[in-house]
Amino acid sequence: MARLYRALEPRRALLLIATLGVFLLLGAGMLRLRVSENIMAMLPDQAESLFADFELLHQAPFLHKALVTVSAEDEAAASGLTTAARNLAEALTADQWQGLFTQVEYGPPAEAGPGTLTALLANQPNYATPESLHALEAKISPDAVRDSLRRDWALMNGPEGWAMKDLVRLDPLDFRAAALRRIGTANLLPGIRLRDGVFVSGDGRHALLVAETSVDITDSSGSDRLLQAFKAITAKVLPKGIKADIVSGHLYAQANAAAIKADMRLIMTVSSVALIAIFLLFLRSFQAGWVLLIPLGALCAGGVAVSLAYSDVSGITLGFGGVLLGISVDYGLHAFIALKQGGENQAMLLARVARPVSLGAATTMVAFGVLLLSDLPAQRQLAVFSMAGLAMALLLALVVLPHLISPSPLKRFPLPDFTILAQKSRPVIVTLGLGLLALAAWQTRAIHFDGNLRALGLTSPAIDAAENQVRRTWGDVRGKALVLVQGDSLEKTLEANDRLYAGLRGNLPEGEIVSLAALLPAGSTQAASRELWRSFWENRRPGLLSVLHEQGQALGFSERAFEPFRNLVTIDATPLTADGLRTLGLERMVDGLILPPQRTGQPWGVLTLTPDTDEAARLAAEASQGMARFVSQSRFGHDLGQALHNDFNRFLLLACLGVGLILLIALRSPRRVLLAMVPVATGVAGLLAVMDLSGISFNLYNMAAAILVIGLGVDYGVFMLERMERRTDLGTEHAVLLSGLTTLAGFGSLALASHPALNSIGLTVLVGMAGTLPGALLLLPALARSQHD
Amino acid sequence: MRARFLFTLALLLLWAAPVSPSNDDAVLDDLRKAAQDIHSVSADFVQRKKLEMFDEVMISKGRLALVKPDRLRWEYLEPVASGFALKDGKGRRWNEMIGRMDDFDIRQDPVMQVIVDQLLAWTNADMERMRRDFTLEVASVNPVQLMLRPRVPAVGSFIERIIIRYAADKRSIQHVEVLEPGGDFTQLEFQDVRINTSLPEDLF
Repeated sequence: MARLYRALEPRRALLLIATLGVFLLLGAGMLRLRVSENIMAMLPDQAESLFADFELLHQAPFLHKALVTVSAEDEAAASGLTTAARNLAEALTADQWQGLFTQVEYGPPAEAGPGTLTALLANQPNYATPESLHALEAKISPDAVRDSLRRDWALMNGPEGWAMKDLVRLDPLDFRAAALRRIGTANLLPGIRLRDGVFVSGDGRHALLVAETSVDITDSSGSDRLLQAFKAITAKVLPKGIKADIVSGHLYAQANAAAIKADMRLIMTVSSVALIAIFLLFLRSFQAGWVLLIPLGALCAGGVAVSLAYSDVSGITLGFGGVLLGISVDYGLHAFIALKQGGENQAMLLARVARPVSLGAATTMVAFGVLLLSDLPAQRQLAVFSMAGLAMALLLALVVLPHLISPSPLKRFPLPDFTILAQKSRPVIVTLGLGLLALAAWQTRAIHFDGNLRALGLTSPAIDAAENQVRRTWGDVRGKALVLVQGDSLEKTLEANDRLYAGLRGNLPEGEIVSLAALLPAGSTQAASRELWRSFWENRRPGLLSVLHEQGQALGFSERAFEPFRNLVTIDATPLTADGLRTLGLERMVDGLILPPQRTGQPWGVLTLTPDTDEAARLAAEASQGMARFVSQSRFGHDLGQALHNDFNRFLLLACLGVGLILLIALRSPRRVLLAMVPVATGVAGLLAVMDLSGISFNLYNMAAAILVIGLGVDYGVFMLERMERRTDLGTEHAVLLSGLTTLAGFGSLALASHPALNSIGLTVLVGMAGTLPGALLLLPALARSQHD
Repeated sequence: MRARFLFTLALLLLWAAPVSPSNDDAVLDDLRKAAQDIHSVSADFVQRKKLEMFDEVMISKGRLALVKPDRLRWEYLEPVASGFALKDGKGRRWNEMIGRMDDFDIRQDPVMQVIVDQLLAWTNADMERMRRDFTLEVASVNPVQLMLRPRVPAVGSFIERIIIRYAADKRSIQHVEVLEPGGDFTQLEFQDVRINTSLPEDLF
């Protein structure tokens, strides 16, 4: 390194021009970067089931629609509720709002009505079961027929007769209860009623609008526009005493974007002030500004390297990669402080600091290199990013930076001699340090990984209240588990669905299962039903029709009054199809639960909604013989957490082994390797202890912060060990302290953020550095000195 | 002579011409105003129902009682005692023929909801309520006769049109005719209409 310095010294201008050129190239490369915000980058790609579960969750009914609850404050306002709901629906889709809301439904489609029930009754042969036919026996006795016809007479005589005529002609004996139950079973909103053609709650105080929007839930500025428009429209359209609340993913996008913006304003201010203060206080030299080129160069090199290796760069990689800048500035700081010692020529100082800095970089690069083996695509990108970034940081710190600073000594901020302090308080420090390590070892059994992606987003009391209101008013429409059965054809899939329904029904509370099986059984099931129906009526038909005719005539009914019923029990019904149900106005039910291949790119699928409980999962597995897929938000979060845990454990083990191996080769002594790892141990120990005591879990974000703490810990250990063994002062303690303080200023300040993800990064860095720094500055010298004494 | 003939012809054409759209609102407004100070109505009615399901025309006699805004009693007295009473969205039905009486909630009975909604709308002269499911046309002004046609296909599947004829003072309905697809119809003739009389609470 001294030789290289001397070789470049007369060619300094060329070096700086070349460096500028490289920066310009990297800058141009960064401008062409294609960043994707696909959350799939954080899913293990070897775990096909997690991908499949994630995709399935996206098919859940209502997940991507906005639910608008229109509420009346009191009974007086409730009389105008349905009008207000209709007016709001019309206003939301008005042209002036530029298609933000593309479709708003407030009631069943126009095709649905009393005719729907009549048409379903005409399909009774397709639904017949031994139980349902047994229930009909009580309705076809002569006394029951007489009572039914008298009721029908009164019905036809009254005003309801206008709407019930076709129904009574087809169902004079009141078989309709079973048909109504069938519609209820496939109803995605079982708590709903109809009033004036509008979906309303049981108490009539709330109306429901289901809205589709052109704005994606990941589009934060679009979400903001959408919600502002909603607020303006409701203020204009709704009368006094009636309000409307919206629940959709856009609420979270808006809240998160607003929180992050506010947080970044605060954090940038705090960290800028802190960084400037640290530099002015501890470095007291304008030349220290050159050090800031290093993280900039590292970021650009990392970004360009990833873009060359992958077609799209995950935004998550870039976000996490920014965290790694905290490591890259280390090398510059160490080199800068060492070169500003004075007393020796620059080439010699550089040669002496190059060894620990290079070793630190090598170990950190190995630690991040292990991420190439991760199952998470974003982690593998992070590996490429960090290795390239750290290599650039090392190059800039050891090759370029020395030629940017003058050899005049630095006026350093007077710091205590940590080495002497460690020696004087050795017993206390060693006891405390080992105690912390023991506590952490005990705490590792309770490490918890939280894979719930939603928990990493910001929510607010207003959002929570809106979600709770939806649950209270309409049921847990957004929180049910999905059970998927699949098949090569719709028929095979419906057969599997029938088997699933048979296993769930009767074992789960009624109203808790939403299934298509009761409304659209498989063709084979329907054929069997029709045969049951035919045999049931074969012997019973003549007697019944005779009684019906006789009793009917006595009441004045005409000969042909019940012709449709006669046909029902005589003529074979045609099979019912999904298209047939759609024409009856049941399109929403059918399309919400059937997943055709052209929509999903997968085989045919049929969904059933159940409670998100272990019991429901067990019943589904039993009924489908393990063929059904049971997915829910909570299970997905748990499985993802498990996958992340496994990945992190593997990373930790391999990183420790890799770093240990490098250190062993460089330091040639297990004792020295262990000493160098002391700051890593204390940093991780502090982190585990505090996280467990305060109930914080590891998640996607603070895992990256933990990696930062580990990387820094290795560097500090190597630098301090070199300091202890060479017994020379290259300003190592100063550099380690400064590095720690700048990391705290830059990333620890994220602990001030209100956004959960930013806050968890900040807390992790804060706590981790609180363990790493004392480990490097006090415990390592105490342990090392005790070996040398 | 010729001029007089043309003038008479013009008058006849005016007389025979349908009420122009701009007069409809005025007529409806008159009805609304006439109903404004009415808080209760009771009347007897004779109903004639011609249904293909029956060999003969069904003739029934009954009574209607209404207290604004939404208490309604609709009952048949002959040939069979049956009917329903409604108060605050909850109702009771009875049928002497099968000796039955049961309670119902209008909110959970969409068919009854539509029917009751319209009965209340006609008797309250609540044009907005009527307009929700029907288009309104003033078929004649003397006496006032409204023609209602369904807006919604689901209602149009069982009602083709409704004709409502008001009494000369416009304060009560004299005659209602409901025409169903296929030719069935219901005619209601209201008699002995009593306005703003005190009606017992237990009627509802």
